[in-house]
Amino acid sequence: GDLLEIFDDGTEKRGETTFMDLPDEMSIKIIANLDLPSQFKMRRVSRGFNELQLCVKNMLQTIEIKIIPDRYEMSINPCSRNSPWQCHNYDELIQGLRRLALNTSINRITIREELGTDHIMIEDCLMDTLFNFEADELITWNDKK
Amino acid sequence: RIYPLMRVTLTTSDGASVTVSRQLTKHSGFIEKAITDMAVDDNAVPLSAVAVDVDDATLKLVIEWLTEHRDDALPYPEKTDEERRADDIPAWDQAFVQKWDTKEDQQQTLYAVITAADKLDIKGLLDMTCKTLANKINGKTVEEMREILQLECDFTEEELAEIRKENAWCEN
Repeated sequence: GDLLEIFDDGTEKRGETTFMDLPDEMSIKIIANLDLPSQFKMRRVSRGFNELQLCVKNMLQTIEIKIIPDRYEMSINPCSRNSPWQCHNYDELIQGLRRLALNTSINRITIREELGTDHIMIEDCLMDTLFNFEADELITWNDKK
Repeated sequence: RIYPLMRVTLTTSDGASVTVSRQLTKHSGFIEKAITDMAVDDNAVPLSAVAVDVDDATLKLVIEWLTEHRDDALPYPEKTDEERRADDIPAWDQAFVQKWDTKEDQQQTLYAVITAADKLDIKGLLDMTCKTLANKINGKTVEEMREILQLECDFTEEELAEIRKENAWCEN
């Protein structure tokens, strides 16, 4: 509820309630109702949100990762992004997936490696990261032949 | 069985009291438990007073919502993590919350109703108000989120850089 502030002159004033005054269970319920990108963006709002976001259990249908000669693409479903995320930085891909795996379970993960790629070392690290997910199915596709 | 004419008197944290039908209070887990704990005759009209830790103005809003939803099915259908969505707020509820937009302390009213729904254990109202607040934040930038929630950034630059890397898939 409202916080009661008492000033030096003895006057009293009701302080404003903020989001962080809500019980944690309520904050988690609100964060759980955000779409996935908003939920992750909210981690940058404050330390409190960053910690609370970990308490939300996310369920996704699919994650599809494409390894293309000069980049990676990641599509998440359901997600409010209209187009796949295009990434040229392998560390960002791995760090993003590691963090997502902490509180997300997925029906199916698909990795597709397209003709012209040479990512044998990368694949091992990527696979290790993907094994952190609670997932029903992991499919790898190799178009290199 | 809930008899439609049964009444229960609620006393608020600021000393007001209001008598309402048990058709409404049956949606509140807290009030129904209080009535059960009193072990009074179910036919007593009105029942003894139940003290609720909610102020008069907020309780009025709760009762307005309960009146509209008095015929909702019980128990409230819980959604699984997979079924969760925030875009299914009924039209009446949306209009009910929009009325608060004219108030200066609209966000404070929303927080007060969320807290009241939690204390009174009214799952439908809690669900709806949490979704309403989530919809205000959805799709906003981090700066806009901070403004809506009136919160200051308490991260170091290094910590923020680390989260930005982890968030690149949804922010770039």
